[in-house]
Amino acid sequence: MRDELKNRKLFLYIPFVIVLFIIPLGGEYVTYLTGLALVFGIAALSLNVLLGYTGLLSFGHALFFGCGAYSAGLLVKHFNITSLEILLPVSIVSSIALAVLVGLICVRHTRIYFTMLTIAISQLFYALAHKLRPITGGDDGIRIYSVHIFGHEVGSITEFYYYIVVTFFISLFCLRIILRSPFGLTLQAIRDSELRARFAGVSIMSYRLAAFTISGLFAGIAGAMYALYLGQISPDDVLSVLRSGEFVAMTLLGGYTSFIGPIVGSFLFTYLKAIISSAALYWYLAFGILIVSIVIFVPTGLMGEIEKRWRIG
Amino acid sequence: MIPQIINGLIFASILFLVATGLTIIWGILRVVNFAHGSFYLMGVFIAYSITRLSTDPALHLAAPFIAGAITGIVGIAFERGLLKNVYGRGELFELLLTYGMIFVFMDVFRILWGSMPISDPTITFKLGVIPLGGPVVPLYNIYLIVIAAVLAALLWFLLIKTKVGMIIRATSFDTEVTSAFGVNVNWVYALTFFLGCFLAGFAGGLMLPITGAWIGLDVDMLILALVVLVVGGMGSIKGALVASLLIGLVRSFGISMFPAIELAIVYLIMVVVLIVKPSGLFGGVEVEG
Amino acid sequence: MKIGDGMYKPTRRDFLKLLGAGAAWALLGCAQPQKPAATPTPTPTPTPKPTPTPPKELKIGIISFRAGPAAAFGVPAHNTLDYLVEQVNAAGGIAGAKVKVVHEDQGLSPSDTVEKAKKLCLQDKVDVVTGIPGTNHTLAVAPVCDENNTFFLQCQARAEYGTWKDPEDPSKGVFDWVFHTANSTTSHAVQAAYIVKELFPETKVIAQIHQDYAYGYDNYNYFTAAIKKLMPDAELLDPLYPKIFSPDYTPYVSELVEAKPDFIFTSLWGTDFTRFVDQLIPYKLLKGTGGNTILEGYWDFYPAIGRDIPVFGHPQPFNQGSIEYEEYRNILIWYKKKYGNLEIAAVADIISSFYTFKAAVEKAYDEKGAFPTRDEIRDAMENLGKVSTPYGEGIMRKEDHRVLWTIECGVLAEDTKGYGLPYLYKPKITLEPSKHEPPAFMKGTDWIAKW
Repeated sequence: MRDELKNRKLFLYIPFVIVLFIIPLGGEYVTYLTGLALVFGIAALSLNVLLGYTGLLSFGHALFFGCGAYSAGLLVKHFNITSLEILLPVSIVSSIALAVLVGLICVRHTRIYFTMLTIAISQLFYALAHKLRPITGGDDGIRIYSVHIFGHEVGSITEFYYYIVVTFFISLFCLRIILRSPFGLTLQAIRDSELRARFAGVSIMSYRLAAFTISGLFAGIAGAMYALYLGQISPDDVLSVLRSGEFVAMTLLGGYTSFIGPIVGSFLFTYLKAIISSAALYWYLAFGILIVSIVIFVPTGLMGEIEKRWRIG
Repeated sequence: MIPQIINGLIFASILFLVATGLTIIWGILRVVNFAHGSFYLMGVFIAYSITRLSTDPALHLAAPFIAGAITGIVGIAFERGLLKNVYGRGELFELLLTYGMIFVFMDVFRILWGSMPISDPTITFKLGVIPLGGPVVPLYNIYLIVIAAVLAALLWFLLIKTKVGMIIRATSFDTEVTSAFGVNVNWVYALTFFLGCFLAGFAGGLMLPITGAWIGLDVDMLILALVVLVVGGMGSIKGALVASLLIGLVRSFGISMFPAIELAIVYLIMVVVLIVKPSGLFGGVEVEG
Repeated sequence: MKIGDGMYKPTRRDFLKLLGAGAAWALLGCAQPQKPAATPTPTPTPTPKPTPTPPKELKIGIISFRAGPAAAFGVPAHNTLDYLVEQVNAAGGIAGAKVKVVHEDQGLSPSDTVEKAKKLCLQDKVDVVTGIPGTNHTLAVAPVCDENNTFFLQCQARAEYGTWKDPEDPSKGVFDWVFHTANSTTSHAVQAAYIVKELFPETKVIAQIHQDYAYGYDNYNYFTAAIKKLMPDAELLDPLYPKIFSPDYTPYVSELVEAKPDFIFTSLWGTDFTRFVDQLIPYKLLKGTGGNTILEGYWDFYPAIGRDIPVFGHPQPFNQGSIEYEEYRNILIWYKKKYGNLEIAAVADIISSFYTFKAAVEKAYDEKGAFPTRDEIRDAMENLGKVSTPYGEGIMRKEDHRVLWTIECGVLAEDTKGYGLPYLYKPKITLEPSKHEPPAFMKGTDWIAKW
């Protein structure tokens, strides 16, 4: 039965990969949207490390997304460094550092207190990015006027799209390996019963901190790629609580019980938002009803429902 | 000095009303109502519709009460209609439901009241100013602070001295036991939600003459209310009072003394409190998973 | 929250409910998604024939806030563009081509605006993108339009460096396809300074209050620099920077009431301005309410929300456009009659961008004798020289793609000419472009420093 499930999934994965590579044939706008969906997909995946696997809801994940984005942005603005091979590693390092620091504060708490703390800290950094104009550009933000990779200048959005695709798959595989490893299984054990795990001698705090760090790290990668893709970052874009909420919505939509759920959610959300907000005046109403419906009727999201049916059927 | 204190008190009064609503909803239902800011905004809009009917000052003064009541009723409808479906699923799902409602309300407001910001300062003009020692202060500002205090006192009386209040508080301790005693827990939930949303809507109505309303105010107010909730201690009305005063006065003096980072200071206070005393100034023991 | 915790098992009923919810949502939320326009034939290559090729349709995309605190500034932009296009189409279009408008709402975050801009350029294939208040949004959109050879006519954001490829480095030049058709922040601040000097020369103490974002800071910097040159003896108080769209001004009002300045300059706009004034009025500080303080600010936001201006005798910095011009005045009167409110700045801004585009197309058409390509329109726009509009002529400055205007500003007076518009400036001053706009590639502060 497990093999059958695996085969069914393969049916999904292979066409998906192919489509991703030939998307640019559909035009620049579709390419742009898909690139966004992939970047947000990485961020949503990282959020789900905390939500689905550790049982902690972060409503301030834009903090790490923004950390990655601003790390890249600050290097561009103050040091004129535009090379991806420098910007990305620096973003990774800074995201790890921030995640450890913030994690040490946050993982002491669970449930609603954890969520509140993530909101508070992300808002604090949002306010700082806004106020420290000379450093961060304030609400004008930072323009990233070009990107280079090993000396070669990235010529178009479409070209950078492929770098995003590559980053996406690398992140995907890394997270897959991590979450399937003994570490990942222990995380889920803690999530399911903290008491039992503690009796088994597991250090709850260390595991949660590790999960927090991994989560922040990949959100930072997403943020850095986003900044370079868009070319302009600002606090309202990458650090706002509304952005954090979007990551949560994507994860919820696609399903937090499934590994690829957040990715599915990210794609659905990004495309739906683009279509509906142009076609109709009431995108927020549609979005709100969608969230409410999912919470009430389909709490495990699209992939959660699909996987349940595949398991049953 | 006096104007700064009065100004801080206005802000604190409104925060207190909204945060108290939020804290009793948490205390009794164990739900963090992310849509609380939307109920606040609802109050402003409803009060606006009322004040548009005539320039009679009595009507304008009554508007927040009426707006609060209507908001409370909408709150009951929401709680009984939608929220109760996710009780027992865990507080995170309840939170997510209220989060989705923010957006539903946003567009509903837009449909009902249009996209443009609204305001109605008529009552502040009519009441004029009174001198307080040296500086003059608008009478409406004083009225606002007083009425908020009166409402706080009424709420305290309701919860501590009346039978209904006792039932509500008992339900927050242990729903199973109270329902074993014959209390209809569903009624208690509905009543609590009514009270919480009434407070939010009432506060909104009070602020109509001062700030007016626009789409987006709901999120701004929500964030501040969450700060107060957390700093004061989730479930504690006393905590909401102290935290509102703290935040209100910090903001008021902060604006005169360190304007550059005034906003960040408020969040910093929240972070520090959560680190040092995670359950807030007056909060109880944090429930462990 | 546990994976597969078994607490919730979907039943067929639930699934049906999901379908029902989904259908309801789909009906509510989605109108027919906008089908991408039939791909027009690529811009026609120039033909040597004198007979005109059939004109294609011209498309203008507008992105501006239709909801939220900035709606008072965005909604009139959409409405005005529709009206102008309607009038022009009724008269035969621009160089024979009909004009179509594509409306987009502006998101709160610049990335949403960029996404809309991309959609307009790539899907709808508009010829022009316009609107977009907010410097950070405008800066983000500029390269997008430029990459796609689509005109970006900035008219609602006021940065004088909006057309520059790098806002920090003017030596990089301007984008080919980006033009700025309205006046700049520098213009507003300098107008304000001249008003103090010319109309209120006895002013001793000046206070300032601005929103804490780029436009606010720029206004403070430019105004302060200008006042120091024009009235070196005036005392300038420390500025106040309330958070934008956060209109509880009680603490700021207290500061001002205690300080009792002679003059307050504010760049607060939208409901922030109206709320600020409403909160200030009871203190009887302002002239006309019992005090003597002059407040300069955007009084036109009162009519924008359908309210009468509560106090006259105060000045306002203006955008381009004098109501002495009948054609312009008629547009304003039409707007007020139809919508019951009137935000003059947004109307004036859209007129500037629409007529700039119109002038460029017509010029290219006249020169070529046939319907021009986009590149030809671009060259024509750059070399327009004079731009003819319902409120007189603007001057296109080729080097930095900015249209410059002669500005009238002054003290608002009650309507004595019976126009129904309280924008008669008594007294007023008129400023030539060189007096209120910096030269090409100079930011406001640098220019003022050279006075």
